Amino acid sequence: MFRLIKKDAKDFKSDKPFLQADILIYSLIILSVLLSFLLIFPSNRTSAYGIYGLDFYCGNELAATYRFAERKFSIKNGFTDKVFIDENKITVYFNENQTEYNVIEIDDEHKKASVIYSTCAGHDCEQTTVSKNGGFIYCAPHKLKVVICGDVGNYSDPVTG
Amino acid sequence: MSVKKIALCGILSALALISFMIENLFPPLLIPGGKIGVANIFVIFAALVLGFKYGLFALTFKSVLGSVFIGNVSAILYSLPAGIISYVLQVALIFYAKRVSIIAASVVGGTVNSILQGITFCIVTATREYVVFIPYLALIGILGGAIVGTTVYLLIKFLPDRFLFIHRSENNTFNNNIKGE
Repeated sequence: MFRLIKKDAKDFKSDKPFLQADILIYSLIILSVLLSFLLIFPSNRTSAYGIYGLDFYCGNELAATYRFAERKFSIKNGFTDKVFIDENKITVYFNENQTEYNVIEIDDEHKKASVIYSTCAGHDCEQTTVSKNGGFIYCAPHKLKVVICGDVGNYSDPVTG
Repeated sequence: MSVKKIALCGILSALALISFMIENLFPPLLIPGGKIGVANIFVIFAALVLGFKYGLFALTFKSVLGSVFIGNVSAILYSLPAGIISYVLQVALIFYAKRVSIIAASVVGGTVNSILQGITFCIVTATREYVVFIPYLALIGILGGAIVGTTVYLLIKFLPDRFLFIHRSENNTFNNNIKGE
């Protein structure tokens, strides 16, 4: 089935779209994907159970936190110049002249957060919302990460630890 | 290395770059990072018609310049390594596995590329939460690989021989002789 004979253009021209070994390959792929779903699903928290706050990371460092119980932001040392708070909105700056930033809005009632504006080139993070335990928003050009924090509960988490 | 091959490699690299940038204008498919990978049509076509190193050049050209032009240079960190590994695996299956079709090899490449990109993203950005998206990325990779593989298969099947550097000899048999080589 896997003979090591090099093919070239004339072989490809006469090939059929479906060959013998394709069955094995498709089966392996489907089995691998099903197995990964079985491994991942137990750790996929889908409820808003136990959500207590949000963590804001700037380049893998924790820059600020927000706790729903106190309705209060807390800015970490070294980030007071990079974070601006305005009621239920937090602006995180990524350069010294503050021209690159993301604005995140927090909904206390539904315990969710969303990026409402970003100066990054792709704007992929804009209008994304997190509301589930363990959910996150990531802005790659700015290396901003917004993570929802919640209680782990009594079940073991094989993936995220 | 013939002039014709170099010229065609340049054209295919440019087409891969353009299609990468156009695809980037559209929102991700279902989940963050979900892309079909239309640019890989030209990368795999270059590998099949011109050779391994030409396809590798097109892949590197597309990944590096595409990330620079869309303004997300850090994307090179997780797209290029995953792209190279899946490309090598795909080309090895296509060229050396006798009973594996182009479409199946492309599905393998697409799936591996999506999974590796997801894993690399998790490691580079220290975002363990993204792991839950990897199975969905694999499904999108399967779909993307099928589309890319089918398109390349149809191109190889229906393009005239001269575009594939195949020359027929006097008794009308195939002769993969490239002039100027």
